[in-house]
Amino acid sequence: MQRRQLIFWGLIGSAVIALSAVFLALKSKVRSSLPAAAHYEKLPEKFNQALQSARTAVTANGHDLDAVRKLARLYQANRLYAEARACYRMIELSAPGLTARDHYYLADIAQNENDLAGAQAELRAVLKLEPNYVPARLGLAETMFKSGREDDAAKEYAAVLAIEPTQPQASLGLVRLALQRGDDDAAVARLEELMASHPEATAGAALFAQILERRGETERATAMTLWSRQKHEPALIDPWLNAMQVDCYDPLRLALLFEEFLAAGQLTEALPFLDRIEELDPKSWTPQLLRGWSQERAGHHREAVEAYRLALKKGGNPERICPLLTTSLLAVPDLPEAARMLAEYYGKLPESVPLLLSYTEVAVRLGDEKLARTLLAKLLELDPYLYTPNMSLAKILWTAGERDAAVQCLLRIVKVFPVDVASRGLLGQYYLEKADAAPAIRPLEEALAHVPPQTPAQERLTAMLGKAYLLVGNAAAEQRRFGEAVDYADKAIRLFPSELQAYALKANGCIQLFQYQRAAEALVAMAALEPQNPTILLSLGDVVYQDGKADQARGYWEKAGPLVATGDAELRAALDLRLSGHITAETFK
Amino acid sequence: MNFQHLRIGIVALLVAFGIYFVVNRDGWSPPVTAVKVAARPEPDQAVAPSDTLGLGYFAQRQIGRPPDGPPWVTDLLIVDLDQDGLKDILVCDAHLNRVSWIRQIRLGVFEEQDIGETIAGPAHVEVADLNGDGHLDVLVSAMGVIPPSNMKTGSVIVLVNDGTNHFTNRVLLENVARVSYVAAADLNKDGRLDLVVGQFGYIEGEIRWMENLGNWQFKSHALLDLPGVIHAPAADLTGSGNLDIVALVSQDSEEVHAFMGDGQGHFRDRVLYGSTNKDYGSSGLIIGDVNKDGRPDIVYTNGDGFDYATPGPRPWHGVQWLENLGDGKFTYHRVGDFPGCYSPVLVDLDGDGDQDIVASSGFNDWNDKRAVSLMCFENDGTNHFIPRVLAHAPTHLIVVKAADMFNDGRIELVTGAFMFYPPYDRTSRITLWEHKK
Repeated sequence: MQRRQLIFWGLIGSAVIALSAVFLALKSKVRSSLPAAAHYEKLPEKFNQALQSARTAVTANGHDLDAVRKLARLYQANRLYAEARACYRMIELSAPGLTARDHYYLADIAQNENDLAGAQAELRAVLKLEPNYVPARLGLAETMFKSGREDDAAKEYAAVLAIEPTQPQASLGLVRLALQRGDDDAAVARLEELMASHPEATAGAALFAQILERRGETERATAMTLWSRQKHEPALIDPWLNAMQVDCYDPLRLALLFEEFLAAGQLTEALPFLDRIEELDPKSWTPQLLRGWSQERAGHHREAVEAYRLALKKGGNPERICPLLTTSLLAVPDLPEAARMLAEYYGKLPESVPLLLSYTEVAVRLGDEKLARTLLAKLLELDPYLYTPNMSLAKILWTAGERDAAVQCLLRIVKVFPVDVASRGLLGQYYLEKADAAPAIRPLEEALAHVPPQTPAQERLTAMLGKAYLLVGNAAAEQRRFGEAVDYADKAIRLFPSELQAYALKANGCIQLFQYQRAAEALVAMAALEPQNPTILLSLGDVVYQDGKADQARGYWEKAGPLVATGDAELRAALDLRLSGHITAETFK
Repeated sequence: MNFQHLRIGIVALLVAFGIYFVVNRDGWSPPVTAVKVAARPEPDQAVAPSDTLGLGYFAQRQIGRPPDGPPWVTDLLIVDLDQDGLKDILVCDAHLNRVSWIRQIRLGVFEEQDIGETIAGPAHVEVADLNGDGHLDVLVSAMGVIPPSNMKTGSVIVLVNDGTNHFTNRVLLENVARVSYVAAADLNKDGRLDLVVGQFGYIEGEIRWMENLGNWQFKSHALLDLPGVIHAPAADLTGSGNLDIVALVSQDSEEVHAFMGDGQGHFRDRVLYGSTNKDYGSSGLIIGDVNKDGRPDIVYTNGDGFDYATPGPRPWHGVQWLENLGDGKFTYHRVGDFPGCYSPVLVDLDGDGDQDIVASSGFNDWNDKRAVSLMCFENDGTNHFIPRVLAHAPTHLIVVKAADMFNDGRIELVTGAFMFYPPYDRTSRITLWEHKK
């Protein structure tokens, strides 16, 4: 071979080899972007096994992009976002690059990392490739709204409605934008449309109720409020994001997915997540706790009981589980079993407030007074201001005639619960029965301020308070504290405008205070109530006379005359004395 | 092919593989178990005193009344209520339905007394001289019931100070969705203090401002029809001289709103930032100048755990700040993760001249003894924050406040505990975190 040929072939060979090296280097650079291998101790072993398989698939298939994609989703589904992002970067560097779904997942990562601008960029990339994927466009609108870009958000919400004309989240987004602009009418019009097409849109219903209330449409607002509380708003259907759930091995994330579906009222969709948590971590008691809780919410009490029992068996925290189990057992109902179970755990944790709360409730319901007393006393020693235990113990003691002890419970309730009527009513009754009316007044006044009007409770409280005012007023008058007596009489009159004793108290007090005009007013009211009573007229005449109105007084005395009973010589004599004109300072004593 | 070709080929191959190995240095690492992402270590049981931010930086002292059962402190405020030069603490106790005053009667000596009458579910406390008589009145937002509820049990109550430290309840608003926030500010520049009221509610809630018409008469103006209001302080965000209102709205919204004021009582609603995670758990917001550029920034936490099926922390809980760039523009910065995070406080805790952020945890996983209850995010001087654990116990700390309690130039902390769910084995009510002697 000629020297020139040799050089030529040598150069060709070198170029080929150099190109190969560059190719290898580039390929290896792609491969080098794989996240470092790691063993994640916080995640279940099954995840680590799946991870190893996914990584092996990547290397075995010569960095096949679908394998890298699967790896990326595995990382992402388990909240390992940095690792997932590294995988997506590998895909991005290779032809044909990221798909719409890849961008969507990157947007999800950005949102989870509170990077709204990053999420918007990814969502725009999604929409370039898949302009009609509604969750992406909705996501873009939401992220824009949450970054304060109202106009851009409005365009995207409108674009969603162009694809799906009654899409509820987009409609609600536009409602919120209208409200931000202060355009209530536009908001209301859109809410009317939304509720007509999506009656299950409870967030919209709640917002609508508030606007209606603000606009004075109270009746419709109340109806809308009730509606919003009856329904669950279904979760947005997002097939791409939902597809990632199969790769989730993270029990916490699975529990959150469970909660999400449960909150949307989709129990059937929610429960499989608990199955998966159990599968991943058979020793965990959390799925059984959540299963019991969701079954109880759905009214499946027996299923709830079974789930809670299993949670306890797996070593779950009795302070968390037993109160829930008690609720379900009471709903079954199986009181004896509840009592047995609580006795067992209370024996192990005698200072536990949550256990005592449940155990006292069961003891009260069982009617086991001795046990209830012991447990309630212990509970109130640990936590003195609990409402139900104080009330329960008060009732037991009250019924047993131990009212002084019962009052201690009632006083604790009154101290802490400013609007509780029952405790205040009982306290009032207690003091009145002890003929110690003064301390009855305040609790009764407070109770009356919070009792629903025109109810038997209001009647009872009013009667007791009126009585208390009179007793305290009379006592004050006896101690010559007439001003105070008149004040109480006025209070009693406000409660019972037809109560003679109250007017009498007032009249007497006013006379002692030389307030004849006020005394006369009270007596006039009395006379109106008992027009045939000559004594009232006599007194009225006396008061008016002392107020310097002799003629008017005479009129009252004359009016009283024919009303005096034939046998009532004393009253007749008193009237005659006055009508004879021989009136001295002694006459009115 | 002769040997020369072979040599060239071998050399070229070696060069190519050399490049390959240089570029792909990580490619030959063992396939698995190279790195162990391990769980956190157990905390030190006995904490030695320390001069650097971290465990042992503070000594704890319980002040005020001992707890009667699991405490439900919902808020506290450090303020010199009686204007005697010593800082006191106002406490909202939702277990006792009381607002109490932990009075510093002598330097370092505290006594607690109830003020006013009972208030159902007190949630937030502020002070202001509402009637202009020169004495600080106490403003209280009351939820009626603290756990999630749709009942219209909310109220706004002022405890009017008669000047002799005797306080009388006066109801300013009642029978509305649960009120979580109230503060006083002259929003329309008429010389009277108006009120900003946040109603958390549950499914329904709102933000309103109440125009002070004088003589204890107020007129309500709706600002936002959304439930979940946590805090809504007023500040001049743009330097316009007009007060704006910044509101943190949780529930399904998880947004920070700015109601930009024109000084005439008109406000324009803007969303400054929001999370798309409906379970974000927004829990507290304050306004302060984080980067000391003269513009008020916003610091807020997310860590609320009231309404989860399983109460407790979530991985996204933590602290963030919205940097005020001027012209009404804000940019989001994550400060750090902190499960169950509540009650942000902006303070130069270590006295190095920059603003640190202190927060507490109300809803951490308290079955785990390593769970953190009090944290300082130490500013490294460039507004990057390094998490410093201050305490693992006591637990359930829903509120923390900071002040120089003893007028010695050093910052103390005061925390309040809200023990909503077990375990109750590391209880406290009001804790003073003071420097060791």
